[in-house]
Amino acid sequence: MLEPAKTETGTIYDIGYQHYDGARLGRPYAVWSLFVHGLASVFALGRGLRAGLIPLVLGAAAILPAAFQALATAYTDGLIELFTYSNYFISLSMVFAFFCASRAPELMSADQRTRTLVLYFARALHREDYVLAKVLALITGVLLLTATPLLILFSGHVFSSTDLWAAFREEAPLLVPIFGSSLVMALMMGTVSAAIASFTPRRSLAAAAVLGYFMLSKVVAEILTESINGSWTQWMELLDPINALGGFADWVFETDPALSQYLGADVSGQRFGIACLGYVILASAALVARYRKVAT
Amino acid sequence: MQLLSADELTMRYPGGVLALDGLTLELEPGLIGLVGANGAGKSTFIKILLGLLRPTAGRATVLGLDPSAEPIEVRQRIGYLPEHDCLPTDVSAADFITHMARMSGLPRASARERAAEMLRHVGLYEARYRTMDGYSTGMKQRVKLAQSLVHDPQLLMLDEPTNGLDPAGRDQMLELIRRTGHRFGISVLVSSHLLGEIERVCDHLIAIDGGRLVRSARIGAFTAQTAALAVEVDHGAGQLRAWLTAAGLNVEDDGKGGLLVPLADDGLAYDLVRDGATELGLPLVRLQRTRHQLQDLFRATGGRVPVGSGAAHTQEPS
Repeated sequence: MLEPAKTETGTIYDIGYQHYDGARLGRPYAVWSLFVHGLASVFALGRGLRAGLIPLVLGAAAILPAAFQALATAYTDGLIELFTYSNYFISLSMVFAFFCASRAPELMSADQRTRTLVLYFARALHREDYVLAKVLALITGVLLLTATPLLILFSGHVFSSTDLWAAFREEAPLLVPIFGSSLVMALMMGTVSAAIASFTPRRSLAAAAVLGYFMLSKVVAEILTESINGSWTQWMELLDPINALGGFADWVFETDPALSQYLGADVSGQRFGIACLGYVILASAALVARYRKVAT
Repeated sequence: MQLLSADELTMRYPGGVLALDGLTLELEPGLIGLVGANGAGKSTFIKILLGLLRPTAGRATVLGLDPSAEPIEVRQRIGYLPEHDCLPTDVSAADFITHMARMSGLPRASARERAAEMLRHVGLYEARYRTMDGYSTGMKQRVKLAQSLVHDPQLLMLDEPTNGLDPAGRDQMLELIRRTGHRFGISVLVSSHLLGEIERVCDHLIAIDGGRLVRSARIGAFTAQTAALAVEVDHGAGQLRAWLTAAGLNVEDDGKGGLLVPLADDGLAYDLVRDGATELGLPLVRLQRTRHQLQDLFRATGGRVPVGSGAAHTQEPS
């Protein structure tokens, strides 16, 4: 900082002002820039080692099991199969929940706590643009974490075979549900946790709320399922978003209902898809409503 | 070209608070001061001009555009400095201003260049790579000014830019604002509850109170007519006031037990005060020429008087 006492203000800063005649790229560019900026902060890029530790550790925790499984598949010829495409997410759901709980507040709460929000809204952006860029950044971040392990499992299956091409052709149709399920997981976890985090400017509170939601909804869903009898029971399970995602994964990977903890003779898979869609729509509506009203 | 206008602009918040009450004004480009007590409607007015709030009734234009109808167009041309803290703490000023420039549509390289230039302009060139959590209030205010300028707006809206600054920081900020307005050819609307500040940097002043326009005029028009004599007597101020009023002077209380006597060019007021005090046998303890400042325009119209050091009367040796 310049020492105002030593130097005269008039001479320090006065080296002329240049008007800006260059390009102004407008709203789409601003939204894209905010998205890239958001994606960088999902992984705390450029924020130093300490800030990057949490996303790094959680990222590793989400991906490494798939790597071990892929190695195990290759070396034991498929004997050891702890993680499958359909159970991967549900087995590691808490890792993803932790990741969302730590990243969503970073994206949604921080600008409210520091009251930077108004500087965005005073620029060439609509409020919805801001929400869109931020939430898409979080969804993309989560998608990297949900799709990567499934792709690793996929390559584990392919590379454990002696005839790579044949193995690839056999496994390739699974790429559709791999991307489909990872995308749905990312969409749902991303929008839900962003919506929750957007309601408080306090990062720690937001993190606790996101994590608490994912953990408590499971308990609530279980209690309701057990205490209520009748045809309502199977819908109560869907109050747990992770349950809905688990069922969705079993459905798109066509898990044998006898082996699935979600699907049954009388339980169709579509309901899980509908439930996931419902969560995304609800969370998006909550986000839009929140940012329409949020005080600047 | 007209800079901004308001036509019967009214803003009632959902809670029922009436922040603007039929505000009507027109302004030409320049350095404009917006004064009023806290709660007079200054921030609300600025937010409507930015298109951040939608007025309940009436219409505003900024640079010929309606901010309610074309908020993006308007905001591209405006720089805004909010009255409250609005800076993230864990990034450097250079990164933050660059980011804000990109939010205004500047390509990456230009954004970085402009950010460095603006930080130099506000005197933070050396500190620009430090994270902002270590910045003083004065430095933060200057970062806020830099972000409002980075996209080269045609109009700056500065909401209480000297809030929380010490006298030295206040002077620097006012000097920066003055230079930005005069040398860069950028119009500035600066709000303050301290009249003295506005008087120092602006050439036009609008005073609002209770959401209504009290006055809008060039600064010179305010100060020319406001020379006065501050009179204090040990006791019997009421008697003296009655005597002077009878002598044809429009005497006012200064609110602190003294009197304010308007001082015309003929200097007759001096003689009358002397004569009155002698005749009534009152001990005269103070007779001083003061220059009425802008707060008097509130008194004249019955509005509330904004408080603050800058609004005090300037004493001149008599």
